[in-house]
Formats: sequence, C-alpha cells, structure tokens
Amino acid sequence: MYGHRARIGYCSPPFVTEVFAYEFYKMVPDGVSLMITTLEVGNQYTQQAFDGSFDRSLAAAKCMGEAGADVVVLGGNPVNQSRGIENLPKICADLAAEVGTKVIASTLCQKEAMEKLGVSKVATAHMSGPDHNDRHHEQMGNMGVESVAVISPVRHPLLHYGKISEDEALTLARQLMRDHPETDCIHFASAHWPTCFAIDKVEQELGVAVMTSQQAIVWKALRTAGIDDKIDGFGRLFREF
Amino acid sequence: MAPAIEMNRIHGHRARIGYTVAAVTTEVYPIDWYRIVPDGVSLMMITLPLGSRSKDDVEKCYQISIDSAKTMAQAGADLVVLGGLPINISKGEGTVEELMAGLTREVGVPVSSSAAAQVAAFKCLGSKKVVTVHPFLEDQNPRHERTIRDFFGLTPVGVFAGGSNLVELGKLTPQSALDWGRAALKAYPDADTVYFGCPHWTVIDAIAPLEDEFGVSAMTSLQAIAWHSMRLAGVDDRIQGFGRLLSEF
Repeated sequence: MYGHRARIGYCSPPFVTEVFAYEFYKMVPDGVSLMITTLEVGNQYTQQAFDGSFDRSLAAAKCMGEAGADVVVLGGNPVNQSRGIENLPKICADLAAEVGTKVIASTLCQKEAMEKLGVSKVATAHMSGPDHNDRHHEQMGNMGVESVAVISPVRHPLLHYGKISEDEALTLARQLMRDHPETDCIHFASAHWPTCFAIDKVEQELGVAVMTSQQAIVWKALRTAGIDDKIDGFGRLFREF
Repeated sequence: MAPAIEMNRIHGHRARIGYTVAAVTTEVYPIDWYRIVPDGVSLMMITLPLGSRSKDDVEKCYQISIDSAKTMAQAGADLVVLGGLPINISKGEGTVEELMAGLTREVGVPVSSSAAAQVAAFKCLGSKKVVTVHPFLEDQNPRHERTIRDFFGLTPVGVFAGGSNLVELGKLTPQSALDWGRAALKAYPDADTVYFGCPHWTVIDAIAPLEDEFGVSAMTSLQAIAWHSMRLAGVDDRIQGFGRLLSEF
C-alpha cells in the first residue's frame, strides 16, 4: 500500500486545503502517506470556526484511527491554542486512548521543533495581515520563546493562500533579518502557504534556523510514526533531528 | 532533496482544480492525483462528511458540495469538480448537467462533476460493454450494474467485488486492483472496457497492464476525473503510463 512505512492523519483547518498536501509529498520519503480531513476555518478567524474545527478534528481523528493511521495531527495553531496550550498534552493523550493511535497537536510540534533547533529569539512571517501581528506575538510567547518580530504583507484571505508565490517567504525573511538581526530563527506561520522551498535558502543565505508550521508538523509526525530518515532540502530540522 | 523551482510562481501555476472529496478523510486521491498531473497543476480539496451513505448523509453532502463550489471559485480555482457519483446523481440522473451549468453561471468558473468526467471518458474510449471492478462487498454489485446501465447508458456485462470496505481502502495494494481486474476480464471476456469505480483506492498502476494484456480500455474514476479536469482547464498534455485515456485524448 502507499503508506507502507507510515500513514499520517492530518486534520486540516482550512475549509479548502491545497498547499499542505502538495508540500507534504515534496518532503516525505516514499512509503509515507497523508490522510487528510478538511475542517471549517474560512477567511475569517472566528471562535465559532475554531470550535467547530476542533470538534470535527475529534471526529476525524476517530475515523483516521479506525482506518489505520499511525499518528493523527490536530492541525491549526489558532485552533489548538484556543483550547489553552497547557491543556494540549492531556487532550492529545485522552484522544489517543480513545481512538487507539498516537495523537499530536501542531502547536506542540512547533514548540518541540524550536527546542530541538535550540532557538530563543524568533521572528515570524505570516500572511493573515498586520492586524493579526499581536496574535502571532502571543502564540510565540505561549510556546516559550521571545517573539522579536512579526511581519505580514497586506492580508491574504486564508482560502487564497494557494495564490501566494513561492518567493514571498524568502522576501519576508530577508526583511525580518535586515530589521531584526538579533533573530536566531525565522518562523513561517501557517501550514497552508508555500514555504518549503524557502527553508534551505533562508538558512543558507541568512545564517539562521528556520521553522515553518508545515515543516514542524511533518517532521514531528514522521518521528512519532517511527520514521527517522534524515531528509535533505528542507532545513536543519529534518537534516539533523 | 528539494527540487529547483522558479520562486516567483505559485504551485498551481498552470491550473488549480477544486475537488469535493466524497469521504470524511482522504488518502489515496491526492497521491494518485499528483502522480498523474504534470507539474504546475494543483489540487484544492474539501472533504465531505459522507459517513454511512445514508440518505441524510448524501443530502447533507450535496448541500455542502454546492457551497464548496462557491468557496473554491472565490479562492481562485480554475475549475471545480464535484466528487462522489452517488452525491452527483442524488437529485435524479437527468439533473447533473443542469446543476453544473447553473453552478457555472452562479460561481463564475466552470463547474463539472465526477459523473460528467466518467461519461466523457467512456465516450472518448468508445466503450459499450463494461465490466466493473469495485473494492466493496458483493451487496454493492446491483448498484454498480444499475449505474452503468441507467446513468452511463452502457451494457453492464459483469461486476466484480473486491470484498473490502471503506475503512480499509488505504490498505489495499496496487496488486489487488491488478488481480481483481484480471479476474473480472477473464470472467467476462466480452467486455471492451474494465471500469474501476471509486477514486479512493489504489488503482492507477493496474490501468496500463490490463490494457496491454487484454486489449481492452481501462477507465478508473480518478483517472477520468484528472483527465477531464485537465482538459477543461486547458492542460492538454498527453500523459503516459496511466492508460489510453490520458495518452490519446
């Protein structure tokens, strides 16, 4: 079968999901497959959408567990953090016991990725518009690092993230490092805009670590499923940990 | 290793195809999609809560499909394809074309369906006598036979049930499709086409071997949807390795 090494379930918050699956298959080795369920987050980030998505994540996790997923990822940093980051380990453990397979949360994937990379001063680039900068500062703080900067171009609606060109991430990273040279990690927030091809370029050109939401999710899911391949092309995280 | 790419392009720089997946969760569909389509064609997905295929489930999925078409059009899809033959034809078999035409006018981008894709594929292949292979239990055979006869207007010469179930689809190997296709064509040698229903199990690697071995056409749901989507979106590449449909039409 396609997922003969590991089958990874991912609860994908955007109502329409495009980029995540595309980049997933650029990264993972042969024999790893993605089971995906799309949730309810549209262009407006509302508590109602987060709650609905979280509830559907639980139902999807059960389906994925029943279908044989080796690990299920509860996606969406805003969705996860809406439950309280301190509650996520218990939520994952309880759900894992219920569905019979491992369960991880994207927020905790990113937190662990930054711990592995040994970074503490993080600058974030995101696409949800400058009015979401405060939320991103808070989310980074909740993950235990210093949020030195947050930048976003003019707001891209979430469901339009597939229209973002592949060089946007690189452009924003250059701007962040120029304005905040104390940064030791660039974070590309959200797993649903094109970032995977920028990771190595940013690390090599700017001399910092890079952690993207999508990279951290895929990395932690692979490791949780027992896939320990060191993968080239998508940053130190995949290559060294 | 990350391949070299042109950084100022989007992933779906040739075409972005929206597709409503008639399943709570999907695994095989995006894998096979990206094996078939050329670089620059991307897939936008929405999964539908089609659980037990009850009448209520199908009705709910129908409504979400309509909403999804609007959402994907707003998000920039070049084409929206509504998946799930049972959902597509739930309002009556004569209504699919009207529904798609109405949606196309409403959302401003072409809207098609998996049903229309398969109709077009059978027509291009010149199919008349069809043996169907599906992965489910034999109790689904009459439904598949009816669909071939009543919806596609073709002669159903036989139906072969693999004996699996929805939950196990991702665990089926490519060899299963090949073995079941061979068994079906040996059992029903007068078929001119072997048709694999359901795009959520691994089938595409069986297409070319069966066409070569038996001298028939092989058509699968996913192959037909990918082919139809590309052609409607203006991607006219002839693609090798996945049957006559993609290499000749």
